[in-house]
Amino acid sequence: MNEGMSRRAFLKGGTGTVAAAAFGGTLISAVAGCGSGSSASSGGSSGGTLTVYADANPQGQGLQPLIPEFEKQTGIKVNYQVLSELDITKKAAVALAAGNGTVDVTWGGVSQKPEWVTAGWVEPIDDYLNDPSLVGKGYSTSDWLPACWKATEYNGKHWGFPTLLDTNILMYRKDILSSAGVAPPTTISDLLAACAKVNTKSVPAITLRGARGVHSNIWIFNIFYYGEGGIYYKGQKPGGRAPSGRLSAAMDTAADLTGLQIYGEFFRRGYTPAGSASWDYPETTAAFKGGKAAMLVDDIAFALEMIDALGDKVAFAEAPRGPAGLFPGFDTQMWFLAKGTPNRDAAIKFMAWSTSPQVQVQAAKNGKYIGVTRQSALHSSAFKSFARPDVLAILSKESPDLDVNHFVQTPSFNVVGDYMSIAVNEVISGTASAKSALSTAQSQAASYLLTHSG
Amino acid sequence: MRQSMETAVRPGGRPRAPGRSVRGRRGRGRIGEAIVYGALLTPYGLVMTAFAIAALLFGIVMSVFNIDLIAPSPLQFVKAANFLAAFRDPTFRSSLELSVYFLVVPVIIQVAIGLIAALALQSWRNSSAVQAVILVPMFVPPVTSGLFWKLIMTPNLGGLDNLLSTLGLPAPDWLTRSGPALAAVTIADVWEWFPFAFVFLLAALKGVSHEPYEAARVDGATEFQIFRRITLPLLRIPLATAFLLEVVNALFLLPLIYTMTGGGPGQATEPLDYYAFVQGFQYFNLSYAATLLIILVAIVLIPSVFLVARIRGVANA
Repeated sequence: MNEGMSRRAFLKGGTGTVAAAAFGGTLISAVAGCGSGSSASSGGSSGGTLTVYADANPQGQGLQPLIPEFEKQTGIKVNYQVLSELDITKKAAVALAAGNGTVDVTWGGVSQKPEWVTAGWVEPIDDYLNDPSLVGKGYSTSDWLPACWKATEYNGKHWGFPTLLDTNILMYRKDILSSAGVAPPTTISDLLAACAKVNTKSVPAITLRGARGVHSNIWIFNIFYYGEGGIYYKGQKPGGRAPSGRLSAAMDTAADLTGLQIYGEFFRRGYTPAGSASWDYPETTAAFKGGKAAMLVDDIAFALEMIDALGDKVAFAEAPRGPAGLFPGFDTQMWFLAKGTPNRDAAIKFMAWSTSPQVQVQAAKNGKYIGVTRQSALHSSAFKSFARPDVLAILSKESPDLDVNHFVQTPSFNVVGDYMSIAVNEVISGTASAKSALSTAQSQAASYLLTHSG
Repeated sequence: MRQSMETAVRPGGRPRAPGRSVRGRRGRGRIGEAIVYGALLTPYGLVMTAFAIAALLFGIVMSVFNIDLIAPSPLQFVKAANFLAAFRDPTFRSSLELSVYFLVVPVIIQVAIGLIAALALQSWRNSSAVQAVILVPMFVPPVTSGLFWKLIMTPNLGGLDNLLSTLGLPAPDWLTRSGPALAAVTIADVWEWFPFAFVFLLAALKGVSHEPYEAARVDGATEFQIFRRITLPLLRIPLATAFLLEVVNALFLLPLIYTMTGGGPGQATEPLDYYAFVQGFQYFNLSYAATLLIILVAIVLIPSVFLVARIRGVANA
């Protein structure tokens, strides 16, 4: 054995030293982390830095290059985080629930609004709209597209600045349909028939969202569900608002079953690409853009992107209509003001600036989308210089059928809708029959609504 | 004599102080060492214990109240109502079955493959490069691993289905059928964690004496007999420990499942921790989510206590 410390003693002492160093390092990091809570990298906000959560949709991405302009004009630093839609809803909810200024402004849609308002996580914006130092001179609520401004309303107050108008359309390959002698389908049954004629192994007929989630498959599924007369709550009309008072589930009608079966048929008959039962919009749009599907029913926000990718081969039509009517979907995405933000004034300035007509048009051009929410933006020559008239024409045709209750405006819909999205996913993947899946969803929703009134 | 030897100068060492016994110095040295090591390790141990126990206690407290952020109502002590609701919840039952599956099946496969790889490499002289390659999956973050396997298993994109078809094997829709989706998550989980068992068991094998093996071969024992009668008994404690640690790893499947299948198709790959995540972060029913996790902790404690007792029993034997 050597003089001095033995190997065993060295290992013992070394282990203790390493452990102490690890603890010390952890402690130092934790203290440093707390101390740097106001820095941009940690996501906190104080001292003029605004934290904004933006969705990774064309609008969120189109606005990103313009942020330095806002910073230069106002001197307010912006920590602008672009997150996928699946992640942002959870991350924003956690940050809002904390109520400690982790986030100042967050993206959200009409489906988040009832939930977040009920939970007390966001602030109404009405009190700030008359302050020109915050919203700019000449600001007027009458410039918003009426449907978009109305979509921000809940319990008599307005809760957000509209950022993006969303609805769904049919996008199709003119060349494939015309070579099959198929006219662009206008109804759900026409669509099914068209798929039968154009479907090939190399280029499936259609791609539709299958991934579980209210913002995933339900966004598209509801076109077919409501179109066949399906409803979620007793006393609700298809695509209409939930009745007042205590709600009860009604996902067990014959029309509900037909709606679910019809959506499942596109997958069951092999009209969709292999594996698409788990796809969300990144995969469905990539498949159509890459020439791997002849048709796509999805967000109008992707129309200009498709034109870029496919040129004259792509054309557009209204979403398919069912026996109960046309329910193309309507969402107004908006900026929400986090309750407890220490940067309220800066947040209002950001929201007003980013949704001003000029910035909307520039962001739309950057992000290649047409869903602006201001009338002056929609009618401006700058906007018309890149917004395709055929796409605008579809939007105009669908306008009378845009209803904010595509996602039923009630706090429980986030959960009830998720039960339905599980059922949809089970049916399209062949895991369960439509009857069995719907029965489970109805049972789950009924149980949930026993303890949740609305 | 013993005392004079104990007080003798150690070869090449310093002479001991007169009147001091070696045993006394050793005893005081050991106490001193223990104090130093204890002082260094105690803060870390206290912090970790505080976080673990505080989190558990907080979860238990939440589970006996009615905290639901979307149905705000006065805070109420509901006793075991959440637990009763869980046992009546069909999704809880199916999620629990999946949790038990993930705590058993992939763990057995991980340890088995880890053992096979360790046995294969224990005698290799220059196996460092191979060992390094085997260890790579363990260092891939679960989210990356999930995305990687999702890509591979997506038809027409990842190539796995094409490879299977070329070999004349069936190419299932991995992520869109319940059976294949469960298999897909199992494969990804095993790939990620078997290196942990491998490195643990390899270290154990390298510490095993060669003499019993040489004696067995001289006696004409077959390799299988040697494995069954010598290797396995000698590896009882390391194997039990490897199982225990892999069971703990099995609790961290959420990132993998989130990225690979999102719990689908339907809820076919939604074990209890994922269901708790949905309840807490999607439905905002925090008390119910806490209830589900407390039940999961209780379930994991059963095999853990058994394994620890087994390890101690073998070690003391």
